[in-house]
Amino acid sequence: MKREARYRRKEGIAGREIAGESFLIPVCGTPVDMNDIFVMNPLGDFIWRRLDGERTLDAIVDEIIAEFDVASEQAGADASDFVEQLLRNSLVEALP
Amino acid sequence: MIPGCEQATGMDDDRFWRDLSRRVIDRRVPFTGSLALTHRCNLACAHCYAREEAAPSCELTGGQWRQAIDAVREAGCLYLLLTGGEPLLRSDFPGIYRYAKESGFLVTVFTNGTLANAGIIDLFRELPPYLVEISLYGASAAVHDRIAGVPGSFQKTRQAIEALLAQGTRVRLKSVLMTLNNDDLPAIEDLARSLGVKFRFDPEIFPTLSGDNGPVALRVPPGRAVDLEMADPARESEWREFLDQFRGSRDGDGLYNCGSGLNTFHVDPQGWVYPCLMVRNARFSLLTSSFREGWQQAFNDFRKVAVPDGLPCRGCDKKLLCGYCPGFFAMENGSESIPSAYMCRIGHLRFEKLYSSAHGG
Ligand code: SF4
Repeated sequence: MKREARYRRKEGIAGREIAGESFLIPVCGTPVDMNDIFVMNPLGDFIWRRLDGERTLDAIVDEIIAEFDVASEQAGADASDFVEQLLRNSLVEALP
Repeated sequence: MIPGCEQATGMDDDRFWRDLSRRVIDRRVPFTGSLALTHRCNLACAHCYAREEAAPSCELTGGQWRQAIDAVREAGCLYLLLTGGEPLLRSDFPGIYRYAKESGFLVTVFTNGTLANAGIIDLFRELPPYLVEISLYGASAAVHDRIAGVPGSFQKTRQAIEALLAQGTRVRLKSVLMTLNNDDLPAIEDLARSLGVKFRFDPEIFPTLSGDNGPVALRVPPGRAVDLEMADPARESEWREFLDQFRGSRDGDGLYNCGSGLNTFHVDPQGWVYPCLMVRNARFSLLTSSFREGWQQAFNDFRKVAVPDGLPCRGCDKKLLCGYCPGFFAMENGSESIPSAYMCRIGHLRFEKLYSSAHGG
């Protein structure tokens, strides 16, 4: 995963906050049911909101370090893992 | 901290959803709601409870429905039902549906299917609903159209079902059991089976929302209704599983022991918000109050009402089987504390049936 790369939330994914949980709900595609809903923890939610196609992953890692009490290496690894999961599930796209 | 983006069911799922439901109840989140976009309908079903239609001019506009959708989204609703009347009768249905989908709801649509033209079918392909539930009252045009009151409706409904299924839309069929179709019920079930869709039917027929008892005359005798229900071994075992799962759970002291006004709501075509479709004695208007304010204030009192002393339902072991609902009691008998004799009898018969077959009787 390239840390200088930029990623953008895909269109057609609705973010919802319900009863203290953050959900990602695909709007198009296969019929949506519980199997298609994604749940994010607070760190996931923090990263998701910043995947705007403008910030690099590195910049987001810096923000994580500033916000959460976490070492730089750990923050980088967590952010990369998370973005990889998002890519695997077609929830974000990498910008060229 | 492990970053999380997991499919909900990929997590420790049962536990996740159990925790979430508990939080939804503790925090009184309006998790499930229905919007009756209109009470108008292109059919004239014999049993309809919403038959005195509001004039279109009294209905919320598309823009007002969008505001309502924003408000219930903000309050935490996930499951949203678009219903009627016949919701597809509104020419702005596609826009309202699209808005709800893009806002991140799991949207179900209740429809009679007759107005599902190519545009609607395409819309449901592009933005798949959580479920489309279609009413089917007979397995033939003769039975269905007689109940629906409009010749040709069976044909159109059937075409819609097939077109939706062909493109992979999740469809479920439902029926109301009544004197006019009870002999046809096995055939309707066969039809649903041949289409590969789930089917449910209900023997409850309500007075109309304005209090006309006419439709109630269409109820089938309780024994007949329960015989038909239990004729299907799969349905009987569903009932039994349900009973096993919830039997012995605490009844609570409140008259209402369901989610009404706790995590469900219903909005009528004019923007009145009720705790659910059945409860009519507490409400607020979206035209004069925000959803959040109304939700927090208007439904508190009715949730606090205790079970009245004389109510035979207190502690009744058939309560899970009779569709216990004080709102229904009020619609039928004008009082939340006078049970529906019909549904009470059905509850007892279901209990006898399940209990006797569980004991080889
Ligand atoms: S309506 Fe009848 S079966 Fe249902 S809870 Fe009341 S007494 Fe029991």
